[in-house]
Amino acid sequence: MAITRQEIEHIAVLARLDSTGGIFDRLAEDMQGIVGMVDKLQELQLDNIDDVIDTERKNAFHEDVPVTVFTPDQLIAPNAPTFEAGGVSVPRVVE
Amino acid sequence: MKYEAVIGLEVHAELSTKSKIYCSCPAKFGAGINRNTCPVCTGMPGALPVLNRQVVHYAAKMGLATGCTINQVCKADRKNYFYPDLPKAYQISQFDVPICENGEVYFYVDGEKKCCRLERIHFEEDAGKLLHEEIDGTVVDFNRCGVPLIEMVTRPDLRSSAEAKEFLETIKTTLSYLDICDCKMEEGSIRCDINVSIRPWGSAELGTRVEMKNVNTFSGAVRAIDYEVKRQIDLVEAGGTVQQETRRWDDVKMKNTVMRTKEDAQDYRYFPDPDLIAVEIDDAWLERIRSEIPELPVSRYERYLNEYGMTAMEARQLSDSFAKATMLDEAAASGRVKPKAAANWILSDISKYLNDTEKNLEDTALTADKLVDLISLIDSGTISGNAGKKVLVQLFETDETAEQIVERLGLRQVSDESAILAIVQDVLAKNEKAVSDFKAGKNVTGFLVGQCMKASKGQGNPQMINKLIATELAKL
Repeated sequence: MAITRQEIEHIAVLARLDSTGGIFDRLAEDMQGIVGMVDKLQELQLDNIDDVIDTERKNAFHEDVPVTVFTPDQLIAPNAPTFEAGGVSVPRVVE
Repeated sequence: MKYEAVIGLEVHAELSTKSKIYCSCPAKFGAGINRNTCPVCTGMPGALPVLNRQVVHYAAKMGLATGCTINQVCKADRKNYFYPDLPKAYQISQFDVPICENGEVYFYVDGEKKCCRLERIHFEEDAGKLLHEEIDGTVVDFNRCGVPLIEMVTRPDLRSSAEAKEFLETIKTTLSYLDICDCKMEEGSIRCDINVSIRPWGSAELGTRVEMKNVNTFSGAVRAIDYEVKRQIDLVEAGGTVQQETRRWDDVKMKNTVMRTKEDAQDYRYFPDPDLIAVEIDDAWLERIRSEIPELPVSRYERYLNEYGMTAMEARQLSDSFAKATMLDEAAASGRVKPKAAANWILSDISKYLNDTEKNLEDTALTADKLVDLISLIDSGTISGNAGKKVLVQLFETDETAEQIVERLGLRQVSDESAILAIVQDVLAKNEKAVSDFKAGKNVTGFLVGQCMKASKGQGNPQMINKLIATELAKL
C-alpha cells in the first residue's frame, strides 16, 4: 500500500499540524516505511487461528484506592512545549 | 405526509469510583488543573495501564440491572483519534466484545409502559478537558483523562423526545439506585449523543441518521431532538434529502450546525490493546454483583401504584429516590403504619425539609423506624399532627427517639376526658359573649376550640375538645 501526499495532508489536518509544505515529503517517506512493515505482517498465515480472547493471563487489577504522586509542576511542565495556568497550552481549538 | 421520528441514544455515565480506570489517580471532580494526573493517564511513553477492579464490577452491575447478557470474558481495545484532550492519541475502550449486551430498559410515558432495547454497555476512559477561558489559546486539563465511563448504546427504539427524556430519567434513577454514578448533570456525570432519523409514518425502513453531539442536559436532549426532527421534515418536504452527518447542538442558540459529514467520518482503527490482558468475571463474582442490586425504580413505581394505591405522580416522586423509596418500604414492612401515611410524610414534610436544607435523606438522622414511631404517636393520639411536625424537625437532626423528643419538648397531648372537660367548662364560663352568640345562632365552635387549645397550652386533643364543646353547647 502506498501513502499518497494527499493522505498525509488529510492526517495533518486531523492532527492540527501546520501545513508547511517541506515536511510532508519526509513524513510520507517515514510513513511508507511503517506501512511497509504492516504489509509484511500480511504475509502471516492466520487462516487457522480462531479470533478468541487469550485468557491464559487474565484479571490484573488495581484496587480502587486513590493515590497522588505527582504535581503538575513535576509531571506536566517538564513534558509540555508550553505550560500555562497549570496545563499544556495549545493553539485555540474552537472558533 | 406524516412522519415518524426514530431515535437512538449513546449515553455516557461517569462511574463513581475513587480512582481512575487505568491508574490510581483520584477520579474526583473539581481538583486544580492537572492535579490528578500521572504518567499513565497523561500517556507518557512506557507507562502501563492496569484496570480498576471496581469499574468491571459497576459496569456489570448496570448490565444486570438492565437485563443484559454479561460477557464473562471480555477485553479492552484501542480507539484511535487525534485530539488535544487525548494525550495517548487513543482511548482505551471496548469494541467487539463489550462487557454487556442485549439489554432492555422499561419506562412509562403518559401512563403507557415502553421498552427501549440496549445494544451494549461497555467501559472506557474519559478524555481530558479543554479550557478556553484560562489563557488566550487553549489549556489542556488532563484531570478527567482516565475517569471511568460506561457507554450505553440503545437500539433505535425511541419515537419521540418525550420517550427519550423518560428513558434518560430511568437510566439516571437506575444508576443512582445502583450507587455507581453521582448523576451530577452540572458536572457532566451523564452525557449523551443522539441519533435521529425520520421515515414516513407506517414505514418499517430506517431513514438516514444524523448524530448530534454536545447534549448535556435531559431538557437539552428534548430541545435537540425536536429541533432535528423538524429540520429533517422541513428538508424532506422541500424536496431535499437528509445527509449522514454529525451535528453539534447549541443549547443557547437552540440550533445545531454541521460538525462533520460522511466523507469526514473518522476511522478509529480499533484493535485489541496489547498493554491489557483479558477480564474474566467468574460465576461467584457475577452472583455477588447480582446480590447487590436492589428492587429497581420501575418495579417500585408499579408496586406503589398497584399495592399502595398511590397516584402516578406520588409513585413517581417516591420511586425516583432510592432513599425515599427505601424509607417508605421499610416503614410499610414494619406493619405498624399504613404505607400511604408514611408516603404522605415523605412527600410533604420530609421532602420540604430536604429541599429547604438542600440535604439528602441519607445524610440526616431520620430513619424509617423513627418515622414509624412518629406516625404511631400521632395515630394513638399521644401527640397532635402539628406537634408531629415539630418532632420531625428534631428527628432529622438528633439521635433521640420520637418519644424522647415528645417528652423533652412537652408535646404530649392531653387526652384525659375529665381534664379536657374542665378546660371546656372553664372556657365557656369565661366567654359569655360567645355563648350568647351561639344562642343567637352563630357558629362559634372554631373560636372556642382555639380558646381551649390556648388554655391547654396547645396540648389538648383537638378532636376531644371539639366533641366536648359540641356536647356542652348542646346542654345550654
